[in-house]
Amino acid sequence: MNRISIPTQFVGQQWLYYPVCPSTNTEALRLVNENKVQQGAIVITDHQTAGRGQRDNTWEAAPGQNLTFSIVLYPALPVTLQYHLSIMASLAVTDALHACQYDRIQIKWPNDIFYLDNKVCGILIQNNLKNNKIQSVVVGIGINVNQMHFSNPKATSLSLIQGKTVEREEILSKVLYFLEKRYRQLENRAVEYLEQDYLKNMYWINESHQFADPSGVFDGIIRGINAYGQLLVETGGDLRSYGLKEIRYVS
Amino acid sequence: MKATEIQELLAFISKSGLDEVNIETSEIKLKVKKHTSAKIKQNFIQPSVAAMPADSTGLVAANSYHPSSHVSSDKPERKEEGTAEDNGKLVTIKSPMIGTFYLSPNPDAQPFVQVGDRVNIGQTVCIVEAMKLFNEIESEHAGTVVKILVDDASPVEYDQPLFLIDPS
Repeated sequence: MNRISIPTQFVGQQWLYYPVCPSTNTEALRLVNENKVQQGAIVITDHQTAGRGQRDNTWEAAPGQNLTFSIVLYPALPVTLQYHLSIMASLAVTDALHACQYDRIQIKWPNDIFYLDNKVCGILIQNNLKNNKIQSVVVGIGINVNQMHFSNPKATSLSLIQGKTVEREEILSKVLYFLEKRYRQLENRAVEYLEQDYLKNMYWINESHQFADPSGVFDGIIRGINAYGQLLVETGGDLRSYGLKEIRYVS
Repeated sequence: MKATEIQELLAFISKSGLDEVNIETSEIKLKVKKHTSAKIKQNFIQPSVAAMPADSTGLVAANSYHPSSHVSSDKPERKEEGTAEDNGKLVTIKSPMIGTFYLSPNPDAQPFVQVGDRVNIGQTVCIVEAMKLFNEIESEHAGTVVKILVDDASPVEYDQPLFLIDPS
């Protein structure tokens, strides 16, 4: 992918392109450790060979069809605000796709990007902490753009949604623009504003659905998140909080 | 109502054979449920509430205080590993957050550090994952790793000691 002009001050301005790269997050972390990257640097590849999802999951992307990149930020953020990195990144992708007329894009807690009931984008954030402050952040973003076939039936791409080939450059430019915008809100501690927007765009919020936890399947309504980013689900007059992997969305 | 009184009450209820007890006074509302089969995870408790630690009988108290009568949680101090004299000169690396502790960057990789390794200030010693955010934790001390206090992939609390370091 050729370097594109991006309407930002810093996000995407240091452009590090790799035709092939095992994982843009791993590469970005390496560059951070060697002090080789500045605020907003982008590490981007057309062919990610060992993309990482959550720890043991892999992120599968066909070469040249999708967007796989990582952004480096140095926020010096207190640990108590770490979940807001997830909020910031997932809102930026949502804003960008809304701006490209994908109206039905929502955020599935904590930070998957869904179109209707299918995943179109995944985010993986890796931080480095020093003296209880988040010093550096690598935000890895994988967006399914033109891929047509997925082994996972819950995955989709922008091209499958639109029924035609989508220009990757336009999507990337918008995502980087909104990342900078949302990051500035976080820097300015517009924390409540970010939270409100996040909840406004949350998949299944304030709707009756079925969920499953270790005690079984139950009916509930997502009401929001708490300060740790745990999901708050109302059921039978109780408000329960769930960490990752403690609850499953059923139907 | 004092924390010690609540603890006495919980001890009494745990012996009583009752499954559920609700107590309400002008100051406090206390709801105690006994879970003998399924042990409730700490994470299920609303963090905004000063949760009582689950005791060994599997009792979990979900109590809602009036703001004016906040009960101070005098949690028993976590017992440090090792004897008093060797802890005198040792320092700990603590968890900066609630999350899951990982000793290696990914499941296939070598651990960041092992017992006996020398660590420097700023060296990554572990990852604590919280809500899909992976946090590399750097050592604030230089020294030798004497003990790793937490098993790989297990949950950790805020401020929980993770490593014992001999700075000498």
